[in-house]
Amino acid sequence: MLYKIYFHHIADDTIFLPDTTAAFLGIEQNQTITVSFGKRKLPAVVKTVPFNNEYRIGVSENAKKELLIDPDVNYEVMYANNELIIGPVIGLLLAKSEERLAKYLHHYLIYTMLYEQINGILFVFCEQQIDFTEEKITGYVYDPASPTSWRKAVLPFPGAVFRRVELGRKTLKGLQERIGPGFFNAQYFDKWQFWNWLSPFEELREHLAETTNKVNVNNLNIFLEKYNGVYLKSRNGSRGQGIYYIEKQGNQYIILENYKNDIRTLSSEQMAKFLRRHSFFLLQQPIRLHAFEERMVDYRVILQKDRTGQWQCTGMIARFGKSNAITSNFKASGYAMEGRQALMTQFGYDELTAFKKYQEIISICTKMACKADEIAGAYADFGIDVGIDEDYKVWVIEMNKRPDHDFPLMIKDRKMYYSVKSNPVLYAKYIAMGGK
Amino acid sequence: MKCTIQLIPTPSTSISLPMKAIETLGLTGRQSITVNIGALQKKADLTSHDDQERCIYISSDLVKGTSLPEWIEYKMKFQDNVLLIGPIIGMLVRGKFSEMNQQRIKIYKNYLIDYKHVNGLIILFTADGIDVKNKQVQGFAYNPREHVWVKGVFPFPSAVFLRRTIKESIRKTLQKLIADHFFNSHIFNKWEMWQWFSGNHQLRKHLPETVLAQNMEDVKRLMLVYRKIFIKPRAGMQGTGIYQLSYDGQEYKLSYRIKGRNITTILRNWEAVQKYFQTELNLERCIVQQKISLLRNNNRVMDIRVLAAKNHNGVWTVPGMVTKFGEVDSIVSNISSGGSAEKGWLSLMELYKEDPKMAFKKYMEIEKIAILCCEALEKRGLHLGYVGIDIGIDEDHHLWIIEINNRSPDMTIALDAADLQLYYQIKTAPIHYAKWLAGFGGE
Repeated sequence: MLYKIYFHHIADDTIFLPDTTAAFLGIEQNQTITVSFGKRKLPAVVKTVPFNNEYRIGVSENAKKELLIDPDVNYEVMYANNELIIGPVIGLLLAKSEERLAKYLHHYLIYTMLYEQINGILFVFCEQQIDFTEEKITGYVYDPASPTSWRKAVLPFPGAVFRRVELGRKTLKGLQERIGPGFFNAQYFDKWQFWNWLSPFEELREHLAETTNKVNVNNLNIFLEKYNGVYLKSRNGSRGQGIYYIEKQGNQYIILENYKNDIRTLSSEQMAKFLRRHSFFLLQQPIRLHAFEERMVDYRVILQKDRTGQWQCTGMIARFGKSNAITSNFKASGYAMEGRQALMTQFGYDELTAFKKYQEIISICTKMACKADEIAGAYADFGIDVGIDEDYKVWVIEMNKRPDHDFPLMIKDRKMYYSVKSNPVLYAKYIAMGGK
Repeated sequence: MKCTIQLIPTPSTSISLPMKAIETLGLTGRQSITVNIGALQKKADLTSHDDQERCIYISSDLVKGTSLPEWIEYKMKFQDNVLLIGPIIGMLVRGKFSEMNQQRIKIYKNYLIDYKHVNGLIILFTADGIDVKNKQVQGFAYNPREHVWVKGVFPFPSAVFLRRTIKESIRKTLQKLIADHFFNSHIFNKWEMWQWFSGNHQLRKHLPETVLAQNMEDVKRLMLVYRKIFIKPRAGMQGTGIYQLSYDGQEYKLSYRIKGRNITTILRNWEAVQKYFQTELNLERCIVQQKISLLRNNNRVMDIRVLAAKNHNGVWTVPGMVTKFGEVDSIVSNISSGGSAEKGWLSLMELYKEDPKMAFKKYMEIEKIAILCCEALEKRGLHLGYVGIDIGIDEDHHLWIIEINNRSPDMTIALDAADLQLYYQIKTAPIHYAKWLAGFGGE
């Protein structure tokens, strides 16, 4: 049921509920309950009023001021443990500056596609609009009645925040403290943390490329001995930037840089010097991806939480990369294909074998995501790069915390694209209405 | 934590875990423990060993002489002070134990194509194989290595997927053994559906108004309001025995189908209708419904079968939708009466050619209504694991709940739409859900 809000000129902290609603929720006349709106909470006394076929909730003037309730949208309610949540109040952190936010407002409408299933406050905002002292945020509320569909408003800290932009350290901490697990995709991590966090777990370790942050000739040689080749990667590089591949031939090291055609040969001393210049990089076991017609293939797994509050796979897209790259991580060239289709194409699988492999990939990725949740907090939107090696083994190469949402467009799958955009918002609603 | 099991014939009730498992599960220092295997629960002495890392030894009296195959990988969990070993999942099928042979039971392997992500013991059994007193069952266990069913007596499973309708006596037996951990147990008819759903404000607007056929006054009122009504058997499925009655201001037209042919009877007035109904139809078994003008595609009625299933986290999801097209000029959209099918998304894209966003919104609205139906059924106390819900779209693109198939909704409908992936997904869903019920969800 959807409720409109009206204000009542009464001094005390009071909330007026239709008697049918109060009875349905199990709330009694004169009961003191906690009313929540976003992260704002206020104890209020309940007054029931006869139901007159209008679903309305009345709020006293003071409660309105305290809670910062916006009366122009329809709300859902949830009641448990003496707390009445009026909501949802959902914030999307989408731009770096107010200027950019205002400029791209029309782009953000894609996040509101399922608003009819969301209701309440769905707003977009940026770092500089957060007022930590007053605990309020000035943002743009989705409002279909407004000419641009957005309306500037002052709002409380929301029940859920989806982060999709760089943030200052202080802001990150501040929001984590105040929003808690409702602040998701909050904590970014680099390739080293990824390995460091997940590799202690045997079940996960077997799907991760061995990595070290001690970049020196000794470790290089150990890796070369073990794997006949090694990657030198920057911790944060994406899309295949900042990746070198090193092999050894006799006493010489052969080094290739991704997307470049030149091959350099270095002596031990030169190699040591080269590694010192890249001391903040990582050494990593190379995964011998199963190639298709000399193209590298990798799989982007879109793993998201949805309205159920649980991880699920929104889709999988395989990229058949440019043949002279040392990884398939390249968007501009090569072609893309839906995951199961690609498994059938790449390995000659039938539908059933492709189904099983697909489930295996999802299962492994879900385990990784659950562990990341456990270790570093709340996530709900991962773009996971998966490789399959020459022995058909599944490797998880990277988990992107601010994943590119446009992958489904590469295979012209509009439904998948809209799902990718909608799922974080549906999850945000689940959290904002009291889900765990 | 994964393990294999070996039964040992010692006199004491005991269980021995690898040292490492004792540490990981936080059982260090315990002398005894309550062990749960399927429907069995018993206190046992706890010891440790340094043998093969993943093997646990269980005294055979702990499982009352039943067998626990050694070729299966089980999981262990320690929660609420109980050591849970499993999952042990059952599938109750039709017939007698003596009638089960490899030829007849091999089709049930289709539910286990994703066994790799289930693990544990899957038991196929018949009602006469149940031993309530000893909480055990005679049946067939799935051997994943050989891909065969193996005969034996096993602990009664902790969750059961019903592949047959059950009598009240079996229901009571199951309840005694595993409380409500068995699903797709109820069947209901169209009249019950109306009674349950019409009080739900979110669903009411999607339900065609329904009355009992024997109340001719109600039927007449419905006819006056809507001018076109359907007469349907309460419990019918597959579009059989459906009549359509329409009134053009002059006379009544009754249309129905016999052996693939459309037949029309003209009735001059309401008295004639009433007389016809009372003599030709079994009114006690029928309901009458407002006729919805469903969208047509090249003169074929279409509606959408929503496949809803509970997943490995125990929540309702919609793995997919299939659009059914009736035969040309037929009043129903059932494939078995000569229609065809395609993926639901494709039909919606066709319907909203200019706007994939509209197609997506409609798709999600259909999904939402289907899930609301499932939740409403559960509130009524029906335990379901998967259902097929037929949703119709009228000319104003409003959505209507046409029918819910819950006895054993046909999964092969995905094949009619040439969607093998959806078929596999829906086929494997009940066992994943059963695993969750058995206490091993979310994996």
